Amino acid sequence: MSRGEVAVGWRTALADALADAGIPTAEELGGEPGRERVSHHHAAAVCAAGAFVSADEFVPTATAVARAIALTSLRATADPARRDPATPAGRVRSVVADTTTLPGWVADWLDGLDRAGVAVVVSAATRWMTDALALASRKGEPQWLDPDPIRHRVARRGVTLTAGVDAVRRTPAVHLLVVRLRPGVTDHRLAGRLALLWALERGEEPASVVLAHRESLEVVRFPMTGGVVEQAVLDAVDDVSWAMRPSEAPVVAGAACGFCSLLEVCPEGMEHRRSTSGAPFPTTIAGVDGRQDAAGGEPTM
Amino acid sequence: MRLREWLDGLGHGDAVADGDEATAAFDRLDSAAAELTERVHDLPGVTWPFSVTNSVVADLHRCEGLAAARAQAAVDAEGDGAWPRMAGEALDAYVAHVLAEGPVADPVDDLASMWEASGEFGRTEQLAHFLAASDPDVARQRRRELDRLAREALAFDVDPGWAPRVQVPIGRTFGGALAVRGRADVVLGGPGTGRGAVILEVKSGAPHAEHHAQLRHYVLLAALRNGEMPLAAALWYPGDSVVDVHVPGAAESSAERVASATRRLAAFWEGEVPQLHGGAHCRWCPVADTCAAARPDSGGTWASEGFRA
Repeated sequence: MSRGEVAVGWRTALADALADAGIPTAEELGGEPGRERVSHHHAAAVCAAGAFVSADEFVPTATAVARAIALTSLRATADPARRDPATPAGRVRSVVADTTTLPGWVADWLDGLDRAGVAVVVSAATRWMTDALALASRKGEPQWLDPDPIRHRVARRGVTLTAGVDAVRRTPAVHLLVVRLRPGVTDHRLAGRLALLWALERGEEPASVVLAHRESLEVVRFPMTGGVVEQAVLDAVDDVSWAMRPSEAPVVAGAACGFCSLLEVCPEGMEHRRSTSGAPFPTTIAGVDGRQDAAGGEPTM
Repeated sequence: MRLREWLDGLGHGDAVADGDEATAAFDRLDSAAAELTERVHDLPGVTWPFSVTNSVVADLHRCEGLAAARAQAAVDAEGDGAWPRMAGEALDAYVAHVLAEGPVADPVDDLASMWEASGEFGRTEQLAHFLAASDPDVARQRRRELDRLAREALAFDVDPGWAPRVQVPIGRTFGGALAVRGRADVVLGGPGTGRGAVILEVKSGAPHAEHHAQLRHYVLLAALRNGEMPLAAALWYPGDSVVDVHVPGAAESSAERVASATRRLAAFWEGEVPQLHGGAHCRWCPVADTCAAARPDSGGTWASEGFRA
């Protein structure tokens, strides 16, 4: 099967799944979707409400800029013989000194920084690059990819699915590599989304998606067999649905509530925070608040 | 000993590292995670993985009430400990600047720029607040301290062959239940660099014994991450003073310390009451004013409790 045929096959599967789930088209919805971009962060979110209701705007972060610079550095010096300077920091500095090789949004971001701000970015990119080399080089360096994400415009929904893939290794089967900070409980869903987008846009069905974790230098391989990508299609249908109508995204309270910008307007999140605050310690400890003790009341913290 | 001399003494960092201790430490924590899961997995309100940081372990060792209070209370940004903490963070930033771009030009403006570039606008505001102290002598003293720390950071102009990185996240999750993680101030060498790993903890204040426990904790984390013991580890203090820590045994002893803390945390889940132990740490405790065991007049310094190294 040609790449074009593979891509068409998965696009048809996604379109059919959207229709089967009764997801309205943009025209039927009678307006723009609530969110136009759905990134792999949405696919990996534990709480769909937190991910889909928050503002729909792309705001570059130092972390995203660092990844883009590190990947550009890795691509620019893919041939070890041409690595001059040889150290990750030196290679990062070369790329930062000439921003023409960087994506426009990264170059713009760097333009707004003074020397101290650049130091932060160089530092973060060096860290990312060193970890990526440590994680990916065990089987020889893979083909590092463009830092810009893969984008798939979902037909007739006005929603674009995006995902960042950091590298690919061909054996000749296709294995995708993504460098992340640490594992999460939704990693299987993330891996499926990456494989789906690769199939939709590159016309290749990956044999596996490898999530490589910087914090622990662990590498976890997710084989794309046994209906994993088919499940990813169904997960994408959910995401498209919530992107079109964010208010229908379900709340799943958990550890992320503490960092959620919607916490103050989320009763479930507030309740979770209240009930788990300070856990596992008890909320009252004998001997603390001695004044209440003296008055015969319940000692509290 | 000065940092560059100390690093020169390590040669090119190609000594053979020990993987056995790293494996033993891993097994110890894997077992602790299994015990934690068995004890509390059916209890309500448990959020996995349970994160055990060095500060939690250290607080539990001092006073379980302190650990409880810190888990429940927001850090007081205006408290006595806030400026020393900010000075420490400033030194970390200056070290990053020296490694990435060379000497710091303006300690205040550069610090603000670095934190803004990181998206840490709250810290920038806090810095402005500290430097606008109502007492002009205090404000001047704080600026002088930042000047001094920026100069001190020049000691980190080390051989780039070590591939130095700052604020490196390191850690591991065991069985989806126990997360042991932290952020090392400076890591030299390690996987991907062709050299053995060296862990440095950058301190802005005077030495005390707690620093050694903290560094051993990071040795544990590095061993878990890299699958082998670091080549070396040291505390760095102003004055370019390096105090190295004996690495062999550090991962196993720290793993036992974390396992012990994990057992106590499991006990609290099960309803056990935290034990209170007054001491110098009461000075930093959010509930010291209302704690029957508090000893706020115990000298007010770590030295008085024998913590000073």
